[in-house]
Amino acid sequence: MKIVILIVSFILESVMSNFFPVNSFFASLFSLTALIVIYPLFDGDNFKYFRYAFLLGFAYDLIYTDTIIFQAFLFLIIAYLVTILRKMLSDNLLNLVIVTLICIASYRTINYFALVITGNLDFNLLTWIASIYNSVILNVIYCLIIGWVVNRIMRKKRRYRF
Amino acid sequence: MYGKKRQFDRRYLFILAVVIVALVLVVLSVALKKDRNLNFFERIAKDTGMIVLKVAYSPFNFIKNQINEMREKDNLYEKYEKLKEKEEQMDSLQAENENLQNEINKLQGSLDLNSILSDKVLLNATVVNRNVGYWYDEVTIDKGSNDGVEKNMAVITSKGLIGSISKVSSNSSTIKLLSNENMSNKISVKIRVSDDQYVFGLISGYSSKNNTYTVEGISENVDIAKGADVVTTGMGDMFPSGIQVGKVTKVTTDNFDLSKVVEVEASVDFDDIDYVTVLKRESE
Repeated sequence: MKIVILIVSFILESVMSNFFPVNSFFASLFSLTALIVIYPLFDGDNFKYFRYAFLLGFAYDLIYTDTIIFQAFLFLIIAYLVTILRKMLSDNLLNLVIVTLICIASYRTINYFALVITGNLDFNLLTWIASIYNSVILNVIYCLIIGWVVNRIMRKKRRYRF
Repeated sequence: MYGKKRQFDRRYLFILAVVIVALVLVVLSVALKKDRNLNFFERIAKDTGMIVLKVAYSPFNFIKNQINEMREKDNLYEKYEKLKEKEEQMDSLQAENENLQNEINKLQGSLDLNSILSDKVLLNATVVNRNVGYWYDEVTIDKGSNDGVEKNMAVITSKGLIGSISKVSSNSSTIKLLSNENMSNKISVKIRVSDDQYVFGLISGYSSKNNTYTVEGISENVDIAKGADVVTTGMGDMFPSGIQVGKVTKVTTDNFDLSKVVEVEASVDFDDIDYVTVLKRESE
């Protein structure tokens, strides 16, 4: 199920980009959002979770950004952040949205500063902030949808166990 | 003795930290290099991914096209009237076109121009995804080296220039849009000042806020009217001459009052690019 959610999100991210204007308020980051939300499905197996994060980032590198393992490491960092935040916060939808927002902001920030340091972009505070708030609406909605799906799966899992 | 060891440890740690930071920077600059060619493995992965994405997008694209068609049907009669008018002018335009083509051929020979629009073969392509990486201002199309696409070929829409091919794999290519605020290639353009007179300048930047380019390097003593057409000059190998870039919206002077700075509204809406045309070289 984890793989299905990640693959669907990965494809949907590309499909959605065709429906909204470039750099609008609806920048999709569905792959990353799905990675954040499916964490409970790994039942605390962090090593397996990091492996999925790395592979997803690697696919992102190859198909979307044409970079070399940069996104793979970035997804790995975000996955580590998710494991820390999920330990600190209790498991409910509000906290899930908060974790998603923190992770999206971190992802955009690390990505942006890496591009600035390597001379690919000029630093512009507004561009950096815009990149974060442009990614909020669509991804929070997606996070809630996937969160609901994951909750149902977890409930079924628990029922099956007892 | 203990103090010396601690000092050594600190120095060792500092050197290690510097080496790690340097290594990270080197790796980052290689990993994020944008003008590199895709290797064999990347090409295969990208092609496979693009096939999947194209198949996944096709039902959505079908629905989108149906909605657009329904919208267009509302204005069908108006369009028919306009087309009828155009058809009446067609014969005279064709004769004029032939005449102009002959003149172009003669002038091209005498001026040694190596890149003009009529030299190009048009290749239509569909956009598969738009700017997924967010920072790169790139779109991916469904045509690649198998269709004769090469790096640095110019890409246009029906409204004008949108960018150039930055990466090519067998069945897909990436277009770097002119809306990229860090355009590494300064593009040479000419602005029409009278019927047969142009001034030359360089596009030096783009503002996504107003969808405008900034054109610099224009002499102070030239009068440029608002609404004047801006087209490519054909200088350099990348963009052929005569491609529409936009229209002048504002003319100012630079900080030293030495040259004019012209704001040009882009003829293309970068937010809405579904179909594009790649300008292939005729030899292909």
